[in-house]
Amino acid sequence: MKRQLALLLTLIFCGNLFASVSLEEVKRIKNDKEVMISSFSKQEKERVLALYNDPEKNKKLTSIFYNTVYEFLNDDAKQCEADFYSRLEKNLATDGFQNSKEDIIDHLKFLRATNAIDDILYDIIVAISEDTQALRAVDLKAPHYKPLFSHKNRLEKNVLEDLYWRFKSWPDEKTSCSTQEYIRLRDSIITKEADSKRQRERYLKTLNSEALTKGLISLETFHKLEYYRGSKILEKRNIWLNDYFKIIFNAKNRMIPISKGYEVKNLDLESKYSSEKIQRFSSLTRRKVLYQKYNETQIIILAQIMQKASKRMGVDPDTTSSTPVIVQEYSTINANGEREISVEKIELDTQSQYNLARRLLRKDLVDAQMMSLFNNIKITYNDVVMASLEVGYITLEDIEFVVKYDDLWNPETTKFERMSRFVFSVLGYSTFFLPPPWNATASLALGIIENVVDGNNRNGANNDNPGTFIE
Amino acid sequence: MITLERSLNKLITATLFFASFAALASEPTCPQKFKVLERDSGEGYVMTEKVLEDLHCTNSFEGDSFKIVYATEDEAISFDNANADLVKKAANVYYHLTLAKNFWTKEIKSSYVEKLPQVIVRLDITNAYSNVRHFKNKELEKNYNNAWSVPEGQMAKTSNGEVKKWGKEIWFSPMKKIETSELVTSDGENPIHESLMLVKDPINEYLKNGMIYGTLTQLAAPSFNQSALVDLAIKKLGSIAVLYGLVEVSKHMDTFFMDKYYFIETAMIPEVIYHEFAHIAMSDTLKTVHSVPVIEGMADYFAARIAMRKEMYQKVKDYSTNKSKMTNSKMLYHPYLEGAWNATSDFTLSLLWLGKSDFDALNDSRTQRGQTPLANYDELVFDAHLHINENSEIATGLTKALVEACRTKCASLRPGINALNNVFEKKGMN
Repeated sequence: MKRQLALLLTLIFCGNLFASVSLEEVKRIKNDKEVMISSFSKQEKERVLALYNDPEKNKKLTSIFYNTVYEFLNDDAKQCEADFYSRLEKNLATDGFQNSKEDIIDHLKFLRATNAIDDILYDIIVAISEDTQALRAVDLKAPHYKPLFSHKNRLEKNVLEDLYWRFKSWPDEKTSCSTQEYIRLRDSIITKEADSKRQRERYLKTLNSEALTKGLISLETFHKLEYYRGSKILEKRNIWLNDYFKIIFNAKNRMIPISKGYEVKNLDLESKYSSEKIQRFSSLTRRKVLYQKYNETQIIILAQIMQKASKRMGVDPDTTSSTPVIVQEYSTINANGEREISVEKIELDTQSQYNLARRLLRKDLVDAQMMSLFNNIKITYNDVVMASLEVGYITLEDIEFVVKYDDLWNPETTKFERMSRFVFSVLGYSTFFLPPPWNATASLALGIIENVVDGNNRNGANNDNPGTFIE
Repeated sequence: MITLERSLNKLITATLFFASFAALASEPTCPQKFKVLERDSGEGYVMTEKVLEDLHCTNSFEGDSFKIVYATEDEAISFDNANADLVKKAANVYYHLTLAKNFWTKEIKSSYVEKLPQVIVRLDITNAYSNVRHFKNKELEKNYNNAWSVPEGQMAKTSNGEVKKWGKEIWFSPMKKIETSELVTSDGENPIHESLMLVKDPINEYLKNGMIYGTLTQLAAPSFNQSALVDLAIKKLGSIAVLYGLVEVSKHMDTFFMDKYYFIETAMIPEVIYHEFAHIAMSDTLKTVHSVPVIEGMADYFAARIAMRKEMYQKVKDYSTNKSKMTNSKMLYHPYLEGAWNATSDFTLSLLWLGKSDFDALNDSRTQRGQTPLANYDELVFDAHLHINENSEIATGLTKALVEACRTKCASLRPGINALNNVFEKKGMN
């Protein structure tokens, strides 16, 4: 019964998700969001650009790539990553381009360096390439040695027939995809600790072996599954080709304002915010985090939060916003016992309007977090900024201003402020160790210096302005 | 045939009429060289020879744009006037007013200024302005050390049906030395008091803590000599008393840090001349009868733009001991600054100037990216004056007017409006 249901679901979802994408639309994959290359070094970029010095050939290469994407997306078969890679190899060879693993990576680097693709797509295809090439090199005839321990508890928890029925034969990458099926298998395993990746991997080793022994899978399939089990590339991947395309075709640049006021002239000179690495020794950028955490629907919803806030503060290019007004009605009993109605209307000043929009943005963020659509996802303000950029609602120029909206509830302290706080607190404690009267003198002197420093670096945002009411 | 003759006559008459009108519009000019005051970056100045280009050939300070007259007179001051000091002032005012008008027509591109009729400029006038009689009687009020712009107006109809009218005018009253001690009303605007205010809190805190610790020590160790505790209390309390005493005394020391005399020859100070012309240039919406922080601040801003000085109205040796207004003042907003008595404050100037610095930086950044500038900030401020009136306040009227102006003047809406929001926040208006 379970199997039939799974088959039915497979058939339903087997259809092509991108059937109506035109070649022009395929060009949406062009990079217009990432200013810096995070996937390889500047030197590498220069090397590749020097290597690819034939403009005609380069144009052809870009065209081959876009056509491959077009063919892949418009194929009636299921869009499998391995199939995409095979098509790319084939199309390159047909047009006389080298198609070895190293050559393909160089081609991809060229495409990235010229912004024909972005870092995310580059990383995905490189990962597919690595896995495909490594899988081809696996010795599929190597004998299988039974493990020393049987691990009965692992086998008892899982029904092998249900887990491995899709691997009776290796997926053909047309009607079913090997990586997708492997991920499904891996995630279906019942382990002692549900969240332990390491335990899942150990269980899988036992189960693969037992499936082979029981004849549920062939020796070739066993070796391929074992490769996937040990593949660090696959383990690290968080963005899949199809998910990437879904965001590209359903969310990217879908909310560009009609009165667009900014056209990028030179991408290299724009804000690097989206392509900045979030950790020092990681290639994970803010944009990659967005693609990892959210799907296309979620991205649109996050961007709509920004759109709402922008309308409220009067910076939405397509909307003319009026001044916000607070209206309160009073019904007061007079001396005759009658009720008199009076209405108070308070018009917000410019800064109160700005602050109100920012405060409501925060509230909208919390409301979104409560939606079931965002279960198990922690929404951050940075994600809202990135989503707004992705859908084209904000421009690369806008980022500088948009990232300051959350300063109201999450103020950014400057390096100087942090340093001065640290220095004064350390010096303050140090005065305890000085002999009298130097301890008193030093603490007094420190107090005066701190006052002077604070006075010179007064922050307008902290000013107590009794004339405003939304701070 | 008669009809044709008449038509020809009409044509010739019309041609002659338009030719004479055109001749009137472009009256011949006779450039003249005069020495005018040019400031250095500090309190010094030099008298430099400059050519006053568009003077009419009447041997007096009159051109298409300005006519410089003495006090309540109607005739332009002659180059040969016996009072050499008056001629010097007239030349200086004429030169700097021409600079100001060029700025408004060429940089700001104000069609209102372009079309302004001749402005009468009165030097050494001591009378006060009357909106019904033009000049108040000298006996009623005498003005010195001041300059102001007056709106156009007319007197009530006389018995013979004559109506005396006047246009926009700028008045410069003469300089008069006044002892500063007679004018000082401030309490504590001197460096000693300000320094004491800075150290008062930490010293006070230290002395109070010393007393608390001393008392606690006495409670923990009763064997501690009673007289030592009293001694400690006297020392600490005494220090606090001395501190408060010094703070109070220093409040009244303002005059020690001022020049003995206050005086300003407004007709010789370029920034004052630019400031007064700015009032005229914005008088389409901001009537010149009011002196409120928004109007004065905007005039200060445009004066600072022409003068390009960080310290506006700074002292000038021989001509002024005036207090400066700082374009980069760090003063933060308080509703108190909206009061008309704060029209001389430099808050509005510094607010608008900070906007200029931020917009300059944004414009540079956009230019480097191959984009058009975000906005011409001067035009933005100028456009803002169309959205306000003489009753507008800084926090509500001026900020809203700047945002409104940005809607039409800024190349990108969000960077423009949010840049303004950030400026307002930096000036403590949040």
